[in-house]
This record gives sequence, structure tokens and C-alpha cells, in this order.
Amino acid sequence: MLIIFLAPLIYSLLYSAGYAKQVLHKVPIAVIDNSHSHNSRQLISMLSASPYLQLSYNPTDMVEAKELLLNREIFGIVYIPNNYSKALIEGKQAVVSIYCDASYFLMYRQVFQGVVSVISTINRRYNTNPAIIYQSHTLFNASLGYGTFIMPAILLVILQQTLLMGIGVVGGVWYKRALYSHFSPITTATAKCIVYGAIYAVTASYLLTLHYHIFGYPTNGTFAAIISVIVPYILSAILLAIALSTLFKRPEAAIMSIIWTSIPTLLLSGASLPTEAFPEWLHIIGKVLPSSSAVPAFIRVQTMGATITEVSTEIVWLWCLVVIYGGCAIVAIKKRMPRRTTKSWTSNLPS
Amino acid sequence: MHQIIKAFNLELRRIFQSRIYTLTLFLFPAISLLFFLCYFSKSGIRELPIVVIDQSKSNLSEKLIEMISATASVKIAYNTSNYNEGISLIRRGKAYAAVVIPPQFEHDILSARPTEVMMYNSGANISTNGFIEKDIQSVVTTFSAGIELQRATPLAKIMPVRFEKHILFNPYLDYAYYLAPCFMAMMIMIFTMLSTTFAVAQRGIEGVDYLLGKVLPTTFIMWFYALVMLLLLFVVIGVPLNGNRWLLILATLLFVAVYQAIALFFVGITRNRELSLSLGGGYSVLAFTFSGLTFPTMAMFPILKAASYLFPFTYYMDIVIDQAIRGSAYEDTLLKMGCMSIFLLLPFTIYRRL
Repeated sequence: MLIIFLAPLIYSLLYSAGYAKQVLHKVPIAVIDNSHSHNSRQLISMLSASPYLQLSYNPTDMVEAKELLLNREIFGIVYIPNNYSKALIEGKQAVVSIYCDASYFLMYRQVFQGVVSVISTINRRYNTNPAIIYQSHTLFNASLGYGTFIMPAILLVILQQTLLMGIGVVGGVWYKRALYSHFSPITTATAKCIVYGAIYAVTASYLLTLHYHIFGYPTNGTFAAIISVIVPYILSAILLAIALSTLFKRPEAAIMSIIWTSIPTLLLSGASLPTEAFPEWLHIIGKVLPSSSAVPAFIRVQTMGATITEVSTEIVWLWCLVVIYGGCAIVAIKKRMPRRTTKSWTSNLPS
Repeated sequence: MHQIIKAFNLELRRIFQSRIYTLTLFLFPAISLLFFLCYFSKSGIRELPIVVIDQSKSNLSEKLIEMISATASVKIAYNTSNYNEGISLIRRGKAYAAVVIPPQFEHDILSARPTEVMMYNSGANISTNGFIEKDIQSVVTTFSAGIELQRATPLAKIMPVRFEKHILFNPYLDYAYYLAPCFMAMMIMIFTMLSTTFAVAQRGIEGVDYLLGKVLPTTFIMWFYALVMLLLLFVVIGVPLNGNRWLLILATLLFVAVYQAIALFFVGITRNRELSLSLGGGYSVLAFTFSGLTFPTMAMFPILKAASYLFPFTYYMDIVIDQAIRGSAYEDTLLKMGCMSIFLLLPFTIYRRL
């Protein structure tokens, strides 16, 4: 019960809190200024004005700077050579060296972007008549927030995984107490769908409204589009969970079989690394999981404001999964039923 | 000693009698490692679909499009002249970004007036965003510089300051170098927690010797999988190994032992198998976020940054990055192994409850 009621709330809160600040600012770097000129000081003051960078150290040489880098005191080094100012004054090309620590990608990107955008600004000051002005706009996650990027996917995966585990644990209890034999498979499946559907309607509503609001995730989707994705998603996840739950002969088996699949599930949805990053056959196999279609569709609806027609492929597939897993659930429950039973089912209920 | 061997043998028998115990110790770890092996079998992100909104339809715009399509990271999946259609392709999940070439593109260039190229990036996925942004910007800048050079503008005037990029530790920016060790280690951690909990969360355990005997089979099996993991990482996937391999192996064995100690601790405080499995499982899955590997802890709220030290996984990932990728000195790694070892003391705090 803990899994069904509390786990989605606790997980969603802890994950969101971890990513609450969204954007990584002020990554510490070091500058080695061998030019000691007006031009180099101007470059340094522009670097320190960048929101992404924090000029923490002024080491005298590269040896000292690399030591700082290995100790994780800084994540980048900007090296200004002694001929920097001279080259600029004489109309020659000046060269600045950037050393970035690529062992942490986000750190690398902020440092690199920060330094490169400062250098581009300087270049634009000198070159006032470029052939092409390049402009870039971010359409849907303007601040490139990490939470906005990953949390919609995590929230949806939490819903599916807690359903699989929670229903699985109950399935284990049902097996232990031989409860399957007392109702027809269709009755069992329908009753379970109604109960878990009702609970998860509340959980999902909380996550997608209040939780979304607290952490400021984008809400660009229409109510109809959100419902069109979430309803078949929850329903197919419940039916898949019911089908799987018949395999568990004891409650703890469900936890042990499901909990480790969370990360592979998240990765298969293509929400963290894109689907182009892993083999296509893996992507196709991954489609058996409701989350693999629901996560991308939901992100497009809520983050990008996609309409129902723009996510129709995923919605149709989710309804196919509802039918397939509905059938699986009924067959699986039937298999769990003993041919004949003489015991009264009430004797198996907890006192 | 006699008690240990007796409990060890009994536990081995129990492993093969319980189906879920066998699966958790043998099949699931194998499947999960195999999954990540397949997941990381493709090297790098290539051919991300983008749409080009070419409103110029000229020789020069075609040349620019040709240059864009020659970039490894993107693939021009659609070419349209309608802006709304292009953006809808992004919302339909068919493209990650749109490059807009304005109608007067060629005319402006030929009459030496500055023209604009706009890039609309989705932003919903920040990993694809970064790749596309960097490559398109460099293509457009190169294209622009090419035109200016033809106008006999000296290079020092086009780009007075040039930068030389040195990417340290992971020169090809291969995300598998740090993600593969991270995910595989998470699997080892989860299965260690689950199997240890399953081994000890049982009534009728008496004495330290008996407890040790029950835990040891899972220790040996998980150690085996941890070594298989290192083999897969450094031999098959090709993660660099720039530091000390023995130190890394030692830290990996310690990592397994530490999570066993934590599992014992959870069993001790809850005294309930399902509850300790859920708690232990939840604690393991959260470790990823708090390791700061993808989103650094320095950007988190101070209290959450402090919480990251409560996950031995954080120390272990630092050690892996130091010894595998960075080739750092020993001192820091030894210090972090010391920090991890503190967690080994946890079971003693609840010894009476086990």
C-alpha cells in the first residue's frame, strides 16, 4: 500500500527537489593572463560577467591550473597568451586557448558555451559587417532547465513503475491467499482496473497540476490532449501490471523483479538520451512498455503544446496496448485459477 | 567459524530453492548488464533529424543546406518553405530543430548586406539541443567566413579572436564513458541491496557468525558480477582506464560490501522484508540523481548537496571518474574509499535488532 499511495509522492518530490534549481550557473574556472594588457583585462571582465562562469582562481601557470582542475576546484582554464593584445592591435588574429573538463558533461557545456559566447561578442565588436548573422532561439524550454527537461519523463515513469510494483505486491498476496479462484477473470480484471484507476487518477492529477505548478514545469498542453495521452497510458500500465502480477507467488517477488527496471524504462523512452543514441531494434522492442510511447507524447503535449493530432500515433498505439494487455490480463488470471475450489473465499481474507 | 560455514551452506541451498532469489542473483543482473551493453553499443549521437525551412530556394541556400547535411550529428529529414509546417514537425516529434533561411538570403549576400540565419531548437531535450546548436552554429559561421574571404576580407578582420579548444579527459565527448559505468554500477548496487535484504530479512537469525554466513553467498556472487561489469566497461565498451586498475577493483569490491551493510541497516530498522526491500530499492534508485553525475550537486540546494554524501554511490562514481577517466592521484581515491568504509559500521548501530 505504501508503494501505491506514498511512493509516487515521495519519489516525485525528491527527484524534483534535486533538479529544482534547473540551470547550472557560475561554474568555477581559472584564467591565466600572460598578456597583462587592457585587452586581456577586458576579456577577463567579460568572462566574469557571464552567468555561466565564476572566475575563482588566477594561477600563474598551467601546472598550477591543472592541479586545481584535478582536484575539482575548477572545471575549465582560459589561457591568454602574451601576444594576445599585440595581435589585436596589429590586426592579426589573436588566439585564446580553452581547456574544458569533459568528465562532467553539463559542466563542460556551461564552461564552453560561456567562454565561446564571450569570444563571439568580442569578434562582433571588431567585425561589424558579417555576411551572415546567426541567431538561435529555443522554442519550448527557453532557459534549458534540467528539471523541465527530465522531470516530465521521470514523473510518468514513476506512475508506471509504482503501478507495476504495487499491483505486483497485491498479486503476490492474492496468490498466497488463493483469492484468484473466487471471481471470474473479467470481474477480477475490471475490479482491479477501477480501484487502481481511481487511485491513480488522483495521484496523476496531483502530479500534473499541483506538483507541476510548485516546480514551475511548462504547462502548454490543452486539457483534452493531456487526458488523451494519460488515460490510455494509466489504463495500459494497470492492465500490464495485472497480467504481470499473476506471476508473483509472494509479495516481495514483485519488488525484486520490477524495481531495477526503472532506469532501463526511462532510457527506452528516449527522454534523456534521444532514441538516435541507441540501437533501433532496442527502441522497437521498448515499444511494448506503455511509457515508451506515453513519455514522448506527453512531453510534446505539455512542453511543446502539441495537439491531439500531433501525438495521434502514440495515442493509437497506447490504446492497442490497452487491448493487448487487457487480453493478457484475463488469460493470465484464468491460468492462476485452480479448476475447482471448495474453500470459502472469506476464510482467506485477513482478519 | 563452524556456524559461518553451516549458515553459508544453508543459504546456498535456499538460493536455489527460491525462484525469486535465484532470479535476483543470477538472471536479473545478467539481463541488466546485457541491456546496458546493447544500449551503449552505438557510439555517439548521429543523424538527429532536423527540418530546413528554405524560403530562399537559391543556389547559395542550397550550398548552405549541403554543408549542414554533411555534419555528422544532424540529418536533414525535411525540407519545406512553410514555417508553420516546419514547427509542427517538431511538435510531432519528427524533428528536433528547424533552420530558417530567409527569402532574401542570396540577394543580401550578393549585394554585400548582412543576412540572417535563424535556428529554432526545441529545447525540450537538452542533450540533443546541445549537439545540434554547436554543429549548426559552426556550419553557419564557417559558411559566413567563406563568403567574407571571397570578398577579400582578411581573416583577422572576420574573426579577430580565435579560440583553441582542448577537451580534457574525454576528448571525443563520449557520454558512454561516464554513463555506462554509472548505470551498470547502479544495477550492481540495486541487486546487492535486494539480495542481501532477502537473505537476512528472515526470522530466526542468531549470532553474528550465522548472519555472516547468510550474507556471504550474496557477497561472492555480487563481487563476481561487479568484476564482470568492470570487464564489460573497460574491455567491451572501451571506457578508458587511465588510473590504477587495482585501486578501482578494490573500490568496486568495497562498494558491494558497503551496500550490503546498508541493506542490513534497513532490515534492522524496519524488521519487515517488504518494507526494507521498498526502502532499500528507493534509496538505490535515488542515488543516481544525488551523485551529481548528470546534474551537478553544486547546482542543488545546499541541504540536497549535503544529502548527496549519504549515498556511497556518489563517492564510488567520483572514484570511477578519477581512476578510469581522469587518471588522478591515489590520495583522493583512498580518502573517498575511507568515507565509503564508514557505512560499513551501520549494521553495528542496530546489531541488537537484527
